Amino acid sequence: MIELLNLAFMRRALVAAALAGLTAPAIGTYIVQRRLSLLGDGLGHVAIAGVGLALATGSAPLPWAVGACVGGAALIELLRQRGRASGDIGLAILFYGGLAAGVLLASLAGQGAGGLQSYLFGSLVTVSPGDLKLVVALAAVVLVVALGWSAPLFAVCADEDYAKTLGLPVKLYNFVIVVLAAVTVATAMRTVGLLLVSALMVVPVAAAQNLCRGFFASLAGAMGLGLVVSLGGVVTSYYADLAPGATIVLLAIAVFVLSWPVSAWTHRRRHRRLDDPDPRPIPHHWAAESHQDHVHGPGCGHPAVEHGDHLDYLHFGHRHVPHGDHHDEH
Amino acid sequence: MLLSGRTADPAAGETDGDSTPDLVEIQDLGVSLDGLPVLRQVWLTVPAGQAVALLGNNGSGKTTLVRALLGLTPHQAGAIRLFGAPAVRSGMSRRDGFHSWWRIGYVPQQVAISLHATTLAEVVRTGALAHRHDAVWGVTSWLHRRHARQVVAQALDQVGLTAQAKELFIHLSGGQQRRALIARALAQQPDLLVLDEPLAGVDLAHQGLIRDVLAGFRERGGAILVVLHETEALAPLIDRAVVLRDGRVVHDGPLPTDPETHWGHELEAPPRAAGLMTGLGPHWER
Repeated sequence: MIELLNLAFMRRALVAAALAGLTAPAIGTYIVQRRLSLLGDGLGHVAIAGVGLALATGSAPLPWAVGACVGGAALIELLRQRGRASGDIGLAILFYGGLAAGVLLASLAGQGAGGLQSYLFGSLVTVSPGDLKLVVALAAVVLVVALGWSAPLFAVCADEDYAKTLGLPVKLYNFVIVVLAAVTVATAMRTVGLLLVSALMVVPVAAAQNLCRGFFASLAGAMGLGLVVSLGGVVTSYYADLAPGATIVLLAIAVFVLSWPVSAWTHRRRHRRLDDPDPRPIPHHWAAESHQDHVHGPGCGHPAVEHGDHLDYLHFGHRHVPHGDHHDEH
Repeated sequence: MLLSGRTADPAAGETDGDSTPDLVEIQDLGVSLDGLPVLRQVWLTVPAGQAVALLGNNGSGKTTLVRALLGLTPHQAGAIRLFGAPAVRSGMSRRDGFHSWWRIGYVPQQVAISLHATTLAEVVRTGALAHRHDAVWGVTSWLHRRHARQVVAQALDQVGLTAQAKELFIHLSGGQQRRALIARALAQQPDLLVLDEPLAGVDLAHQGLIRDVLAGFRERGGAILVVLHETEALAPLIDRAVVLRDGRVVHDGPLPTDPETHWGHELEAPPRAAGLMTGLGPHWER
């Protein structure tokens, strides 16, 4: 373990992985809440275009990936806010256009699709000191915004219409969420890889939702799980000589699978408790509203429904039955 | 300037020298959805402290009117004034426009599906967000957390759901979910509650609970605009009824004593009854 920390590239890889493990589930909790679980995957495709551009121009890939990804995210959100039916097709074109453009540019640079591999699936040795500075700065921004604005961001993700009626700047918050997701995807490129980062945004969140109750508990739980699987994945991949991105994602899925029985158990326990009757039980004999000279009976004009040994009369969606000088609700 | 010399409500008369503006003032409103006119020449006022019922058949435009009033659906004609200030349409910002949206507590007809994995307290706490004056630069707003906690506890207490605060929303019954949405609106500490069919699918005992909650809100001076399909459960509360038919106001006055005679054949009792009964539990089997 100590020897691992003596290696400069491993120290950088560990820091980058830890930050990816914190930021991806943090922003992923909002993404999952908004039911956009596959957004991260699409953004990863768009970032590939940025990497291809960097390879073709011979510059550092990370800033280009961040730029392409944020641009793509802004475009996606615009499509979503403006268009309706065309949004779906627009997304698909954007995503696959990004992937194709990335591969094309990489091959123009003489690297072919193989040159992209370390960006697609992550690689321990590729985190340069310059990359790390950018990753730390961007991750700090993502964490400050995602946690500092957690209350209004949650409100927008949970119930957009209601958030609008509160007067919250809903469009702005929606933009913030997708842009943060884009930044997260691009910064996780070196460790988890662009094709696998989406899993780190979704799987720890799903596991945390099994283990914790409520949005904010899941947010904290997902970040904790993300940190553990990222660091564990990097260390494992170093010793076992495995691809780090794949190791991290499979570890996350293992945690998710283990969280299933826990969730089933707590759900059963809670359900038993909730089966208790409501504090205000319905009385057996519940008087209906007065009818002003109208007595329900055959030919009263209200539809009759058989109910055990008698007939109920449908009155405004209620089943009424004459009883002495009044009517009962049935 | 905005509050200049208009009486609150001709019926209520002038109570004092300082006349308060109507909380809601809709003039000649026209709304089309996908090119189809849904509301035409609608006039509606909700004075302070009044409870107004909005009635009408399915498709008469009740929900659209509520959504237009809240700025969720754009209107093509007419004007909406809230608390004496012109409602600002989405995308526009006017300094003299209405900005105090927290004063209007909205209780939608349907529970947003993405609420399911959240706890009741979390949902209600979003209502308390209305008190953050700096909703965008929200870092300082952590100072408001204690206040928010009190407001949330109070709102949950009012709807009788304090014991369920930590439960997941999806584990609550339909009636409890509806009360939770009311609690969320109450956590705004609003002056006006706008409710879209708060009793739909709620059994009688829980209708009584909701009625008590709304009556308490009115006693504290709040105004209510409530979309209703059937008025019986809330009748004692209602000061005025506005009936919509085909997107137009056909009645504005006291609650019709027997809505069936008022609406005639247009009221579809049997399908409504069938829908209600499927939502009812074993309490109904005797």
